[in-house]
Formats: sequence, C-alpha cells, structure tokens
Amino acid sequence: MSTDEPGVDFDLSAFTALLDDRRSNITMAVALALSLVVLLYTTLDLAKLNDEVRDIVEGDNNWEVSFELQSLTFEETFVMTDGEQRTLDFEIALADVPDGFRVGSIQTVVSYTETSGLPADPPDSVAANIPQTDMEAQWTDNNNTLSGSSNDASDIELLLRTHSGFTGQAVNATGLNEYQVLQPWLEEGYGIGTYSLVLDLNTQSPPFLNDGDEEITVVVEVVMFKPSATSV
Amino acid sequence: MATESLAPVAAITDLILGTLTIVLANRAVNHDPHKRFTALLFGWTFIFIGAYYTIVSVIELGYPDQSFGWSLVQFGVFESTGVGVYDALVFMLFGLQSAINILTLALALHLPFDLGSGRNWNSMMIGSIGVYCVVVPIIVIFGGFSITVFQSVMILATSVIWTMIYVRGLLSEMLEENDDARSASKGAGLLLIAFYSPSMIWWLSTVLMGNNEWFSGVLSQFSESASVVYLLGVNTIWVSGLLPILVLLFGEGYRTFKKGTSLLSVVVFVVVVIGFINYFIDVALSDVLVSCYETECQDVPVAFTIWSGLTTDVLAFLFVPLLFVYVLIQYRLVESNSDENRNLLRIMILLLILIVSSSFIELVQSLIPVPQMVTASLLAIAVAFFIGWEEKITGWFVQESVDGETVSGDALLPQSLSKFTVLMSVLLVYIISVSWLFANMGVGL
Repeated sequence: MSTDEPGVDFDLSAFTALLDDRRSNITMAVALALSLVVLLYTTLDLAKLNDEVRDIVEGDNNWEVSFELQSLTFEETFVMTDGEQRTLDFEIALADVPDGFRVGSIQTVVSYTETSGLPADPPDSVAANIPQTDMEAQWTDNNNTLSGSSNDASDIELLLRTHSGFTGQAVNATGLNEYQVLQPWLEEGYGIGTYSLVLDLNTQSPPFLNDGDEEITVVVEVVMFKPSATSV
Repeated sequence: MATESLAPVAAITDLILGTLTIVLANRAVNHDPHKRFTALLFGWTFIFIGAYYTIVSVIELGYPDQSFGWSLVQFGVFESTGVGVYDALVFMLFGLQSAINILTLALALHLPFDLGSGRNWNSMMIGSIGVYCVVVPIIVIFGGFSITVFQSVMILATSVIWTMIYVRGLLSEMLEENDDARSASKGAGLLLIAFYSPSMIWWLSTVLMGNNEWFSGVLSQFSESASVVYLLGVNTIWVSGLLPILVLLFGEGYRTFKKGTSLLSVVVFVVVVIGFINYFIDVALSDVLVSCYETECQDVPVAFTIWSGLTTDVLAFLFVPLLFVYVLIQYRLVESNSDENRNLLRIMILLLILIVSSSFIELVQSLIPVPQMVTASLLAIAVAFFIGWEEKITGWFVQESVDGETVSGDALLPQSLSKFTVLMSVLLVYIISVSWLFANMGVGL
C-alpha cells in the first residue's frame, strides 16, 4: 500500500487505496453508524443530566432548618449537710436518644427552700458547678452557664450546649441540597457520656439555733432535637 | 494505605525511550528515511508524554492538596487557582496534551504505512505539527480551557484511521488469506491499544452511560452550565475508545476462533474484561459518583483505588511503553542490524522491562500488605530471569518478521529530519515558556 512518487507534489492514493475495499468500507460504516448512535444518545443523556445538575446547583439554596424537640429528664432530691460537697453523675447513653435525634443541650435546675422550720432562719447558700468531663460538648461556648449559686433559695439554672449552634430555635442555612444543609446537625456523639454536677452547701442558722442540713432538688433536662430542612 | 503513583515511573521510562529513539533515528543515516521520520515522530511523542507525566509527578509531589485528575486536562475542567506555579504547570499540561494529539494523528498518517506521499506531504505534516503546537495551546489557555474538548474531533479521526487500517488488514488476512496483511492490522491494533486504552477500559460504561453519571459529578463543579457542544466533545472522547475496542473485540475474537490467540488478541481481551468489570464498579459506586451534588463529595473506597492501580495505572503507565517499544522494534522503525544499535536496543529493552517489573512489584506492595522480604525476593527472581533470558527477550522484540516491510512511505531529505528534531525541541520550550508567562500574568483567573 506504499506510494513513493517523488515527482508528485501531493498524493493521497494510499489513502484512497485504503478505502477501495467494499467489505472493509461496509464494516467500517456499520461501526461508525453504531458509534454515532452511541454518541448521540449518550450526549442527550449527559445534556439531561447537566440540566438536572444545574437545577440543583443554581436553584434556590436558602433553607430553614427547624427542630423537633424531645427531652429526657433526670430528677433527684436529697439532703446535704452543712459544708458538704456532693458530685452527681448522670449517664446519658446513646440508647436513651431516639432515632434521628441528637442531644442539643443540657439544662439543669437546682432548687431548694429553707426547710429547717426554725424561726428567722435565713436561706442557706448553695453553689452548683458543671465540671468538664469526657462528654463531647461545646464546653467553651459563650452561652453556657456552667456555674451558679444562690443564697436566697432561688433556683440555680445552668446550661451546657452540647451541639454547636443549637438554641432550640429554627436557623437559616445555605446549601445545594437537604443532605448538605442537615449534615452539620446530624453529627453524632455530642452529649453522650457522663454529665456531672458538683453541689456545695453552706447552711445559715439563726442565732443560738442550729440548721445543719438542707433538702435539695436537682432536675436535669437533656434537650434532644431532630432537624428538618425546608427550602425558603 | 499509601498508594504509590506510577506517573514518575512512566515519566522516566518515556523520557529514556524518547531520547534513545531520537538518537537511534538520527544516526541511522542508511535506514529507510520514512521509517526514520516515523521513528522521530514516535520519539517525540515519547518525549511529550514523558514531559506530561513529569509535570503530573511534580504536581502530585508539590501540590498534594490540589484535586488533580485526568479529567482536569482531558476535558478542560480546570479553573485557574491564582497560584502561579501550579497554574503554569497545568497550562503546560494543556500544551503538551495538544502536542501529543497532533503527533498521534501524524503517526496514524505514517504508521503502519504512509497514507499520503509526494514532495509536499511530509512538509505539510511537519508544518501542521508546528502550527498546531504554536496556536492551540494559546487558544486553550485564552479560550477558557474547556475549549480543549474540540480536539476530540482529532482524537476520533486518529482512532478511525487506525481502526480502518485494522479492519482492512484483518479482512484481507481472513478472507483473502493474505497473511502479510496481519502486519498492518496488528500494528494498527497495538497502536490503538497504546493510545486509547485509558478510554477503552470504560467501554461498557460508555455504552450504558455510566461515564455520564460520573461526569455529572464533574459538571456540578462548573460555575456555569456546560454547552451541548462541549458535552458532545466529552462523549466523542469516550466514543474514540469505544469504536476501536469493539471492532478489535469482534475482529480478534473471529481471528482467534480461526487462527488461535496472538499478543494483540490477548491484550484486547484483557482490556475488554477490565472494561466489563469497570461498568459494574460504576454501578456499585453510583452514590459516590453523584455525591457532590446529591449529598456531599465522598471519596472512592480503598478497594477501588487498589483495582484502579492494578488495572488502569498499570496499563497506561507501565504496559503502554512496552507496547510502544514492541511496535518501534517489530516494525523496524529503528535500525537494529548494526552491533552498536543492537546494544542500545538491548539496554533499552532490559531497562524498560526492569523498570516496569520493579515498579509493578512496588505498586503491589503499596496496595496490598505483602512483606518487603517477599517483594524483594520477587524482584530478585525477576532480575535473574531477565538476565538469564536477556538474549531471548531481546530476540522476541527484534525477531525477524514481515512487519518491518509493512512500514513504507515517501523518501525524505536528511536535513528535514534534523530540522524536525530542532522544531520539536523549540516547540517543547515554547509550550513551557508561554505556559509560564501566561500563568504568571494571571490569564484564566
């Protein structure tokens, strides 16, 4: 199939020779026709996929994430003596959290009243503190209230935010799809483990009388949420 | 599990092969000028592919955090990052890719035989390569990178030419019992495998649109909607691999049924089987492929990385240079009769086989937890085998056959050969220079 004609400027006879066989041409024509069919339908499919992708990517990407709330409550009532420091441990297990829910925050209320029954007995002094444990939580969040005290029998309210950004209120978010928007709210592990509370009691007694103990009630409410996203 | 990249190995082997091929082609003054010119085309294709892999290796080493993949350059998905050196390296890849495309087309017009002739034929070839390499990289850089898929027309044209030569040779051999015609079909078939195997191994995914599903993930990263013409270009690249592999499958299947297996048929069947399995991998990974827009981008499983390393990478990076050398020597593109050249060829073959086998062993070790002592022993066995069988291995590569007679074409003036070498050197420097210049000017940002 070679052509060696130095006297000619330009000769494509080898190329035309390649095309002078009918069987080869038919075989090649069939192969090319099939390739063209594949090319057309794959391109149409890709164009359709491209439209779908653009709808997602360029669509309205603003979302509102709202939360369905549930809570798990621990309550303990006990008597502490003057000068006593007591540590209460509450175990929050993964099994305690319903499917699809995450632990958002832990709210604690320490309450007591003057129960000595002595005349002119002033309220005792109670201090509460949440020490950091191995539990994964937002320990450095500015909205936390990890310690408090009371000397007038008012409730001590403490708050530990476990899941980042969770306030219980709906929030706005941006993202390509529901999955991406919800992803930050679906992280697991937060708020699971041991939650501790340290209490100190200092009783106040009226002159010549002795008020040596106090009854204290601790209510720990584990706030759990299930997020859902709505395009806005 | 760290996966060793084979790009540096491919870079070294291709650069060595390119240099040796150009040296052999230039010094064989009494050799057929057409074969010398074809060998030069081959040599420079090696050099450009070697340079391409060198830059890929530099990027992998210097910018491990950049998500760099095959589609970035092949489909023009790249977007300038503003990091001058990184952008310059990717610009160079676009330039080198263009040069490889035109050199491959030129090879298809010269090998297994010259499709054109006459005084102006080779001049036109050389001129076209020069103009293309000067103009196209600039167009791609200034045209927004995705314009590079227009080259798919040329990629398809090259594929069609070699497929046509294969069909013609096969039918002539099988129906006219012209055994000499096998040289043309074998050469065209091996060249098709060498240049198109990266897209061939996704043949079933092309037919059943698994590639589209993967590419939809790429499309989601685009800042603007892709045009239908662009999408047509993307699928043309896949079809450029699909057309020849299906023709080769039926052709080699028929030939094997009639005449038994051959090197080409075995390679074709292996590529077909890999492509068959790859489609089901696409199916298994479909959630990952569309994760970038349906959920969030996920990494492919380690098992896929191992499979890809042992099939795609081994084929593209290690096996293809072996095929190139086989074609180069079998078709007598370089003169192998003189003692001096024969020694160089021996070095070339052994070096290549040793690099390929040791890299393969290292790859296996990096992917599968095989003890080092075992792989060291395997390497020692391979070295002993190659030394002991050196004569036979070299003989297998340079065995006498009619293949060398198939390659024929125009006479070419010796000064044209040396000018071509100078031209390609200048083009290589040009591509590197303009890429550096425009990347540092912030083009594409």
